[in-house]
Amino acid sequence: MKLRTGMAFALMLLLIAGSVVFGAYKGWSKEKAPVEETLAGLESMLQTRVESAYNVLAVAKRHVPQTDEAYKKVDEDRARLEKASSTLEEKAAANEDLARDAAALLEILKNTDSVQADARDKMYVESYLPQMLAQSEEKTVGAAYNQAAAEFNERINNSFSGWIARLLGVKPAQEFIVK
Amino acid sequence: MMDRRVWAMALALLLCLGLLVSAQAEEEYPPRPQGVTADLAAVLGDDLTKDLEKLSSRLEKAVGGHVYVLTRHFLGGVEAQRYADKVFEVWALNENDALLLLVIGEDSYALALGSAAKGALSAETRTALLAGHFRTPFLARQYDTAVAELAQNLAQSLAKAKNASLDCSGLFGQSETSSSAAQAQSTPQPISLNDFWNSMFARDDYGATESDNDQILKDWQDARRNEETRVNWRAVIIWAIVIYFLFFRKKTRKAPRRR
Repeated sequence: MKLRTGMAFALMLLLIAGSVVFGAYKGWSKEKAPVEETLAGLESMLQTRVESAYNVLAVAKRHVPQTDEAYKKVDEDRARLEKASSTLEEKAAANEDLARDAAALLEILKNTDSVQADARDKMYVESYLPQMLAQSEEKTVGAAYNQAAAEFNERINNSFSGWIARLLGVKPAQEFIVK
Repeated sequence: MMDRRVWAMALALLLCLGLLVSAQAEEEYPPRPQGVTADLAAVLGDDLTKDLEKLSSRLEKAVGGHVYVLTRHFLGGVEAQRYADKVFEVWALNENDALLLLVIGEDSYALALGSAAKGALSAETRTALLAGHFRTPFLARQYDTAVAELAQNLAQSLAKAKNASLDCSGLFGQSETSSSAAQAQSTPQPISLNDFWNSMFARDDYGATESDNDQILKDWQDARRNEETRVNWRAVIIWAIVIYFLFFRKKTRKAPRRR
């Protein structure tokens, strides 16, 4: 009788442990799925950054040689951002560099005589392109994915079931930040 | 072994095609305009737009085609001809139609034609039309003149190829004679924020506003809360079943049987 009770108790513990482990894995995996769904929104925003870089370069090449250091930097940032195999952290770094380098290139263009003499390009350099860069940057930083990923990571890293899920291979969401 | 490789290659090919198709489907283009002009870069004059409409209705009567014009500031790295062909497809233009794309900030342009129009005008004729009637005024930023000249000559060439007559009298007179009007268009005019986005980026699905973004986030948070509630109820039910089987089920089994 005692043996059967002991077995029942052990079985109960086993079931509890099993359900906790299974529940943690399944629950956190399920919770991560919608976070990854919002990633498409961020990717779309990053595409606007790539296009912004192309547009800045399209105007710049009319006024500075393509071997110009500032031009080359923006082109490199664009390539890094566009590279499909880059991690989100790498893309975040490229995005940050693009913001800085594109602003520097626009500043150079602003002080170029040929730009000052060209009403259309002057308008692009002083108004349209900075506005486009600022808006695409704002949308990228404010993308729903960034907040969803941060909230998910905060929860999975600070809960017991999250710890179990991580042991079982549920990884925290990649964050779009430069570490 | 060989069969497996063939299957694996076929599967990989299918996956690549699937990815390509989904990538294509993701791209979005400006909506087809009510008339024949979508001047997203705001560089064309009102008179030109009206004359393009008139020319288009005359061309429709003559050969059943239209000349559409689309202007943008930039294409964000997309090749102009590829973009024009895609817009032609997305707008579902017909086989006799022509679409002229002007990319103002990139100093580039492209002409997309329907299959019948392509058959009527050889590649050499198209190149000659663009070189002779469009390129010089376009690069001089006389956009009205460039579009007027090309539209007229293109429409007449299409009509001629189909042995139809097309009357262009009374059209584009102002843009041909008034150089000051054409010069005025060399600098894009101020445009709305929405048009700004549409004309600056190749695809138009980026206009997700902050409220859209907030809605996406709210939906995600709601879904998460609902999921948490469901998990709690599920846990309660599982616990109830486990406890029932371990402690109560046993007693009912031990009840004496009647014979």
